[in-house]
Amino acid sequence: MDERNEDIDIKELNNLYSQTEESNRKVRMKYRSLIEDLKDVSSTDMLIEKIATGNELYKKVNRTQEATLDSQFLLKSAELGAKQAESIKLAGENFDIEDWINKLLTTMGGRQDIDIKQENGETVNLKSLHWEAIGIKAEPFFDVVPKINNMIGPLSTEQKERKTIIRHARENKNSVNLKKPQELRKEDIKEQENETTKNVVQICEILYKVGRIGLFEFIINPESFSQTIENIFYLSFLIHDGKALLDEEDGELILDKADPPDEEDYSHGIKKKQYVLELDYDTWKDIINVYNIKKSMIPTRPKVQTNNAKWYS
Amino acid sequence: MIIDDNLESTSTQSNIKLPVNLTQEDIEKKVLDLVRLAISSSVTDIPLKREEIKKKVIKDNMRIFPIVFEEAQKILRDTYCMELVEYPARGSTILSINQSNILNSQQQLQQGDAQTIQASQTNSSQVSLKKVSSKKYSTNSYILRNLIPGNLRKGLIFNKEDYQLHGLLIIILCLIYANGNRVKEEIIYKYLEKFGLYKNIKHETFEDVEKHIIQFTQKGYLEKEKTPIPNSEEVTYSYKWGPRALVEFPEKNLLNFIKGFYEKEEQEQIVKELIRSRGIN
Repeated sequence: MDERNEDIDIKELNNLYSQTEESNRKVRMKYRSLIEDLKDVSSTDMLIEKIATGNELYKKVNRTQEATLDSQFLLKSAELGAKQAESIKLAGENFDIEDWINKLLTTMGGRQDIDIKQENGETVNLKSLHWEAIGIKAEPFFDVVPKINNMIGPLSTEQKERKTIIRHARENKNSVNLKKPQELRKEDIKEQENETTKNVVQICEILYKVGRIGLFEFIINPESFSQTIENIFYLSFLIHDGKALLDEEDGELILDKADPPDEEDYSHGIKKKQYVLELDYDTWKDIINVYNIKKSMIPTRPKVQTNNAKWYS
Repeated sequence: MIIDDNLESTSTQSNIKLPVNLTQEDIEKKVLDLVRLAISSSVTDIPLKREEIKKKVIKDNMRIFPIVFEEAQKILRDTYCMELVEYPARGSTILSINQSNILNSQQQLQQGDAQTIQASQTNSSQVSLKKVSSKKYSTNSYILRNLIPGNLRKGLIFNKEDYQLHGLLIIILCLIYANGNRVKEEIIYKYLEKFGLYKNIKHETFEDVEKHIIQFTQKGYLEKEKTPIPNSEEVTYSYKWGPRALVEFPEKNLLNFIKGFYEKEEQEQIVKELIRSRGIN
């Protein structure tokens, strides 16, 4: 008996697992569209219909992945059901709000002889409603506590935070060393010149003056590593714009001026390329030794003063 | 030993042992501190947080919280005729509060006189709606509720301006109630127009109505809720009862309030209709 049962179970299992991935995918797809559809459900009947579809679909589910979608669907439809239930008006007569509002208006003295508002032939004076009349009626039913006006003694439990005091003291101690932040006025701010453009133009002029020259002899500044790097950076713009070209001759990198391509050349497919070559401090030293560079071809630019009072916008 | 004796005679919470370093006097001081803190907290309309009680009253050992709390409740009830009530969590409804109240009173009936309920449980009796109210998380904050019998309150609570404001508030709450505890913002203003109150028009008594509605919301009387419109980017807003309204204006009171506008023979029918209109909210 037991064995036979087990056989059937295994068969069923195999059957379940033999379902192809494709049918699983279909199930998932259907679930997703079902969940999507819930957004448009407006009536209880529609919701019931969707849930029925979901139940039908669940028969095809045999893996966790699809089951997760089912629970997602369940959650969404339950939320929707709860929302709908909230708005159900129970059978039988409901409270007549209009009637009560009229009673309120009467209590508030809204029916005096001054015609302010005509409603259903009745005269209602809305301007001089006695709102406090409702408040007086409401008082016995509003379990709010009276507000106290005063209390003897402070709340002893209230303690001042000491932390801030300590910090305050420490700040005072060091106040001699404190530097006041600089106040900025409009005239202090100087328009920043575009250094890059200026330097690129300058380097271009120098290159056009010296003509064909070894790359390193041109860009290396033996006095300053950082300016060397800057030179490489500026040079890359000349290459980019086609104003300079980089050539190779007997294993040496040679730099030369070039005619920049015009619009037509670009339209024929010339691509702009820009590349900043890597140069570390040691290599820079080596190059200076090997090429015996004494003087920078590109004049050393004056150091930018970093601690001066000028501000750039 | 003396401490134990004192405990036996003054209170019934003997099942909770006092930490050795605390005397009965310490406890009594903390109880009074909590009473002061509770009363002063009502001024700001901000619920008193359990954390604040811990910091300002209990200080270190939270195990004594139930004792201190229950003793403070006794003083608040007997001397001031008010009590601390747990501030309902977001999403609490009139129905869920009712159910928890019913459960609480059953609990009390079973255990006889409320005074004899042991502290470990009464930490709950009036206080924790959370246990029963559909497993909503606790807010761990409390507000005071007035216990003075309604017919003795005249003039005790409100001044003229309060009367006017509470008149407006109670009307709004009743209207929301009768609409199944959710009313769209524009519908609220439609109702208020019947009373001559218009959004953006200066009113003789209230000046800016909207300002008051915002204040009611901030104080927890109303809860503003966003409702997305299906298949649209827009949202509408609805108003529901806020947590404070659930505490300060229990359904029982609302029914009695509205009932008062009707003839004796109509009243039973009116109450039925009202509960029906409230639905399951």
